Amino acid sequence: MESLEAQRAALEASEISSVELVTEALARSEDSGKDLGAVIGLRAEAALAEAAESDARRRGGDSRSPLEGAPVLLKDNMVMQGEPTTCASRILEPFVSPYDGAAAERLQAAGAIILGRANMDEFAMGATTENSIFGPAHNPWDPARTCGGSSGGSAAAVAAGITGFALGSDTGGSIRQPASFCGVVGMKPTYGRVSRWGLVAFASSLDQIGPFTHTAREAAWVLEAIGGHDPRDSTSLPEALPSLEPALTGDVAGLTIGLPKEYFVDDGADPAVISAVRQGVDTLERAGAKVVEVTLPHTPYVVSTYYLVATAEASSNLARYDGARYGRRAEGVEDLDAMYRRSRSEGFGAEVKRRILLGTYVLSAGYFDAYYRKAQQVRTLVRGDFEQAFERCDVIAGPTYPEVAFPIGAKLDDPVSLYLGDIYTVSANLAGLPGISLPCGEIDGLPVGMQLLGRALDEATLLRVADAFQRLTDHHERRPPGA
Amino acid sequence: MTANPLERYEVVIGLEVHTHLRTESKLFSPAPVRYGDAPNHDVHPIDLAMPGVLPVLNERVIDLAIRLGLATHSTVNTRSVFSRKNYFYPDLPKGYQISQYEEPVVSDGWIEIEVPASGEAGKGKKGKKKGDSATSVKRIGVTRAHLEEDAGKSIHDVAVTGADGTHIDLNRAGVPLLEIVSEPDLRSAAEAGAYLRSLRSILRYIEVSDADMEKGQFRCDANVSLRLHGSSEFGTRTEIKNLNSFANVEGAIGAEILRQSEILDDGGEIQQATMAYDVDRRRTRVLRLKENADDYRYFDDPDLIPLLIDEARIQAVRAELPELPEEKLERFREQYNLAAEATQILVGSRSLADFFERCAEACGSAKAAANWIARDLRQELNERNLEVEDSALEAETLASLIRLVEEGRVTAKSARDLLPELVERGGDPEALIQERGLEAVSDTGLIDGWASQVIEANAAAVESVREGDDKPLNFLMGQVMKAAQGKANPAEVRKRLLEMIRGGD
Repeated sequence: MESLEAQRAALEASEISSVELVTEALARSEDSGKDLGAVIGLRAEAALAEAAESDARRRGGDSRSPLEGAPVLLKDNMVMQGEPTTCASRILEPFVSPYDGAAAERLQAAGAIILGRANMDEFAMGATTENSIFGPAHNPWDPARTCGGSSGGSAAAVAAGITGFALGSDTGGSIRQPASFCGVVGMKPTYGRVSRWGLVAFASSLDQIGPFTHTAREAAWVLEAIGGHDPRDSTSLPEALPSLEPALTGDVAGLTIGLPKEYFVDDGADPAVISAVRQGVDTLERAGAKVVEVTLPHTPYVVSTYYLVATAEASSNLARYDGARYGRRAEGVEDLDAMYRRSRSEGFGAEVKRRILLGTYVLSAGYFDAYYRKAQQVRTLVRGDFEQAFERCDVIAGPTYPEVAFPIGAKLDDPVSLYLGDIYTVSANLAGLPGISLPCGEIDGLPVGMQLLGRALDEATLLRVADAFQRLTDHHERRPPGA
Repeated sequence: MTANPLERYEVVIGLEVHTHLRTESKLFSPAPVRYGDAPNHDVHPIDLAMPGVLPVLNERVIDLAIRLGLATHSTVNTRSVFSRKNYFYPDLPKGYQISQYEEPVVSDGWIEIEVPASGEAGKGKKGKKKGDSATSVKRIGVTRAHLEEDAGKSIHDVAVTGADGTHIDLNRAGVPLLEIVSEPDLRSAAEAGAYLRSLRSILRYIEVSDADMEKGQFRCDANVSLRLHGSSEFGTRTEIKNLNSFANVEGAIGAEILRQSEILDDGGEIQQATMAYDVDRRRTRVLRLKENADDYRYFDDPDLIPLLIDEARIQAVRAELPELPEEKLERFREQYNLAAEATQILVGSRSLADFFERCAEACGSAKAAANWIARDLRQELNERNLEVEDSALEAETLASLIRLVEEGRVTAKSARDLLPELVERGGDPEALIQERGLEAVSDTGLIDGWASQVIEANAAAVESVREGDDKPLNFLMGQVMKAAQGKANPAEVRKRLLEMIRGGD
């Protein structure tokens, strides 16, 4: 009963009620959710009351969407009126939102039951969910290993079957990489597809909300619920979201899959990862897709470009956490300067501080042109790479991450090696393109993720290919021990 | 050393004006723009910089920016970009101000100011002579105008807050502003004042801003430097911040000119600095030196898309643009041929000019309407601190009063006495005159009676008049009017006096 599709079927067949589903999910949250460090806050009473309303709607024939009655977790950077939003940061520990974010609003409008909040790297900065005041989240496949990040709590919760789906946010791979580590589907829609209203900003031009599920079909349902124009977000795309499920034909004949040669070089990803991804591509090729080699020549620059853009925006976005209006203020401060310095010094963790310093530096007079402006120029070139590649193919395939989940703590003292791991994921954020990671194999019992990247606004083709793959394989049906 | 620094130095002044836009809501949030509400009443989560909020541009400001661009002969840029100006201050909730930096919405324009024809001011390179001999017109360049949000207010006064420490009022945070930057074309404190008056008049004409200085809707920073006459290079400038009245602008600039000239006279160098004006001591003082200038780390705001304005929209705004002060001045001069001063006064405010035109048409005499409005009515309004549209007096009402005077049915004095009441409560002049018994007396019998008394009591003046001197006649008329308590028809009085003294003309 742990997948969204199974929950939907059972609810529609009246084999289970939403109240029962929510009750079970709450129990799992208290149990494995806490053990894994995936769930950091629950709204049990409200969720049960909303589940009862959902059951009443269903009895009345008023089901709102495929998500009706299904429990969901939100990464703890999406606000909801009257609920805490911490971003796993000391500085927002006491914060309760006075307003509803778009993600919460739209999920509720679709009938989903928001169960609570999932663990994350502080302010979505990190790739391991270790930078959290709640402690690290663990990988359900091997609790000694990282679940990835920054949306690690959401990925782990879905992998462990705590909820059937969850939302995360992806600034440089923060949905796709933990999905890859945890063996679930994680999707980053086109930039502007999902409203950022109520998503606590890390890097505004890169942030995008997306779903974690087991299947591409389920991801399509969630995206239909949360996507579409929102006038409260000026970067929200005006285009209406097309109906996605009809695109899932199971047929990939006539589609062309591009393999960027830069993603398949010898000194790149773990050969075992490359091999699993190649097998996945072969499966699609056998099903009728055409496979071609493409080139993304600016790939060597994407990680440094990303870290310049992301940290610059973050340094400005996080200036509001100053101890003046909400959140944590250091105690016993005597003047304004001390209030700022001490509130921020005590409130932010090491990785967040590192990025604020880096971002402040790249925007500073005398350095701006060499770093930030140059990064924007490279960003334009990266976009151009993809435009050219998509003239030759419909979807680009490759590894989501250079390796499988590594042990917790392994890279704690080596942030740069962690940054370099983002090489396959950050391009989609820099270019604003949709991307999806889906399980395509395993190495020593640990899941491997295959990433598909699509044209802007073309989530439909991305989901179509992913769904066709899942009809041909059973990687998505594997569950971690104990789930 | 001579006392007047202007004999040695040429003054170079550029002004930055911040003007609040006339909108219902804030620049990037739906919170209302109101003045005088309880602190932190007019705020939305966006204004508080709550986690996860996003700015959405208030569409209304676009047309206002276009209007300003057109009214200042500027380029309205079809693409402009919002940037973040980053700095920490408690009344700046986001830790950055959304402004426009490299690509402003309006650039490269000019406005005209009237300057005295003699002296430096008249020699402006773009200056051109016009109409009146007493003044000439000088063009002042407008470098740019950009949209930005205002900050909140920090209140340190225990008397206001009732408690120690600094308190923050965010009602003003996010209020839409246009920052209008002039070229360094101004050459005296008086020219700076004239520029500000002209700019304010334009802003009010085109209904872009109420530009009420007392409410902080119109604030000015002045950049001032000196150079030796004939030098083509600029001297080091200082910036005087937050000047909030015309008197302070001119006072501060005058004080800064003096301060800089004293330093230069002593062989010193001007240091680039931000200055404050001490109104009580009439002196400027250094707030901070620019050497440790803040680095605002400007970059394009990734939460907003570029502001694109198409030509059709600019044309639509142009079609609705009201007549501008300089155009109206020109037309008034040609159409009404009034005294220069009266024309200036009438055109100074769009509502006063409109009132004048309605009144002139209704009473049939532009000259009379101009005299009444520019002199008597304006005095009544000033005494009550009212704009003409706030008074109860309608243009048509004043016109009928003027007609009654012209027809000799009420004397000018009686009419003037009615004005305060009409300004405050309105009413029908004809009815009021009858009710109060203020009709002018044209009855020859009564006038002859008063005239006889006056002639008897002023033999010397009467003798002069009889010998052909008209001058004492006014005195005699005044005496008759006094005896008549101002109600005698002056034309009739004059006629009767002459008949009685000279035995008919």
